[in-house]
Amino acid sequence: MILQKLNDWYWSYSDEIYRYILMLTADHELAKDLTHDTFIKAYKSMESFRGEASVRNWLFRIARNTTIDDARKRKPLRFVVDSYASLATNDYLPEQVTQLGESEKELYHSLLKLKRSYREVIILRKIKELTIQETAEILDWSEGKVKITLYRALNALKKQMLKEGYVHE
Amino acid sequence: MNKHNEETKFDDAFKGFQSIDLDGEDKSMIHTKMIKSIEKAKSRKVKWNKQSVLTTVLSGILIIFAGYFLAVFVENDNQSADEKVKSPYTELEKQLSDALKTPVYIPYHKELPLKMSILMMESMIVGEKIIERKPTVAGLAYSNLDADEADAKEYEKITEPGVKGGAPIELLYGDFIKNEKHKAYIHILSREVSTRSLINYFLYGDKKTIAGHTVIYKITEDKTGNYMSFAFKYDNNTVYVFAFPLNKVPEDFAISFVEKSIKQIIR
Repeated sequence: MILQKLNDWYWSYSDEIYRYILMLTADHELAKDLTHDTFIKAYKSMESFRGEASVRNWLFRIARNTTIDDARKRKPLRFVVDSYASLATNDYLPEQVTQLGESEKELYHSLLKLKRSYREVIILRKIKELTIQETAEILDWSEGKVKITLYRALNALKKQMLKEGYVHE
Repeated sequence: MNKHNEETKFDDAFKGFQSIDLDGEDKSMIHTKMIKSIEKAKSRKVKWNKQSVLTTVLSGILIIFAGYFLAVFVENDNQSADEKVKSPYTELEKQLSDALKTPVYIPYHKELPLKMSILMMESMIVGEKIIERKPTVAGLAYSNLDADEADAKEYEKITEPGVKGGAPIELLYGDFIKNEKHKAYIHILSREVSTRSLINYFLYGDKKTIAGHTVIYKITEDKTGNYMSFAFKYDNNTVYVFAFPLNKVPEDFAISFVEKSIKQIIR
């Protein structure tokens, strides 16, 4: 029964979860591993899921924590740098993004250079198109914080794109 | 480009990302791996059950000893929850122990959570090159306040390197929060890595007894205000210095925090 439920969830949401993790990590192989880990964690904690959030948002939340835990485990210091500054030295873009087109490539390149909280709120609000309430639920922020951070994040993204020469004043 | 066109272009590009999917092969591969992981976990449980006979016998033997352990438990039951709790910061403790080359214990306080841990770094810089870089002191900040944009800016200012990689601090845990937000702060110094003069500075002052141990009490000045500090020499190698902002924290709260912390550290 539980396994059946997990299977249902996997086939319904694995693409979205993988995409979310890929946007956060910029690493296809890592995103696959963390997608696997997300569903294993969901399986293990299925009994504690009381339906307060939707299954999809609950899975996003697990995926986010799994990604953060992994970053902490792998490179604790890098995690901190990533929290506050940028991934400036990382010019690698996953193939899945480069295939999309020039505008997407440029946008993603600039997105990666923002600090993590800015990336997260942009990914959830603008790419996943979640509501403010859903985003607040996943990030464990207040709705006000989501609005303010998104506003700042989009300004920072625009500045970064100007800096990279992708857009002009 | 006008603002409207620009936003539309951004939104179109954002939407473009929605077409990223796992390809069929990857999707099936992850699914197979997921099912295998679950079956493996289940089979481990079954193997464990096969040993239940042996477990029952062992349980009988253990019950004989249980009375003794129960007695010890009851005896220790007067300790507060904070003193009994196992540190939830094992990973961080390991990192700090490695950095300071001495075992480190991080006190847990239910009502005042650990918000940040940093390492003060010393870098020997010649020209534009870092010749040597090592940790000198570990810091633990406890607060009921969360980090915000102002803290992030302050952190960026502090760590903005003159020479890349030469920042004076490394943040190991939590988000950076400014001194003004700390309700309690613990410096951990080690004779292996910290300067002797700094250790001696903290160990010179008035003596007090807290939790049956001698601590050195003094008022220290910082550009952000005055602090009361209590230095506890754990052993010949490690010194824990508890600092509290004088104008924000009453002395009895500080003493209680130090007492609970020492009881956890010496355990």
